[in-house]
Amino acid sequence: MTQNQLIEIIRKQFPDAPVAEIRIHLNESLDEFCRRTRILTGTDTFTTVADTRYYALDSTVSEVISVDFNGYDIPRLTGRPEKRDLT
Amino acid sequence: MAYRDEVYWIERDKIGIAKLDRSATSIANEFTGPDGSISVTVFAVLNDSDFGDTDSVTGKIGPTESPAIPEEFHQAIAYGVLDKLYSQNPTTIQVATYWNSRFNAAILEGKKYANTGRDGAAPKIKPAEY
Repeated sequence: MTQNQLIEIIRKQFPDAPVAEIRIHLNESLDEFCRRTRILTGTDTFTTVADTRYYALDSTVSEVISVDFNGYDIPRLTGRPEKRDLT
Repeated sequence: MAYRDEVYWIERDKIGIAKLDRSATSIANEFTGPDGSISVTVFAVLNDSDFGDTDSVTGKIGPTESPAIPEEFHQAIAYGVLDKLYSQNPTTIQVATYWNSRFNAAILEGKKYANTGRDGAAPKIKPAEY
């Protein structure tokens, strides 16, 4: 179902609602649906820089399941290293 | 026992990666690195792209494009919107409650769909070493 078809369904009951407002609510509902169901999974790939610890996650990532480093699954550290390095 | 020395953690909306030295004698050099030019793949639960007003824009769902969630749940997004719109008027709160229940029912179905792992099995819980 396309965005236009979704807007058409909503406008049958709210014919005067501005498309921009409907679109805001569509985004809120879609985000809530994805977050609560955890229905969409995928990958985000990047390349490390030597001695750089922190990398931004793609804005669509809501929950990390696992991480491959050079093709191998690596464990998650509970908390963070005691010696701080914010690079 | 993990055979890789690297570990990851999440902090400040970023992913941290470092190499764990199991033979380190002090906290200061327990974690180093990571090495450079290594490919990292993050497997994750994702949010869908946002709806936009133009087609063919990366990271947006255009007017003639569809969300990435399975087709059978597309209409549920409209239920969520109707819930929000009817909630704006105190005289239609009852109607909003109806659409909210339809939205929540779709979310329950969505959870079942996501948890079967496409093989009909029960949800899996992966043990972690740390």
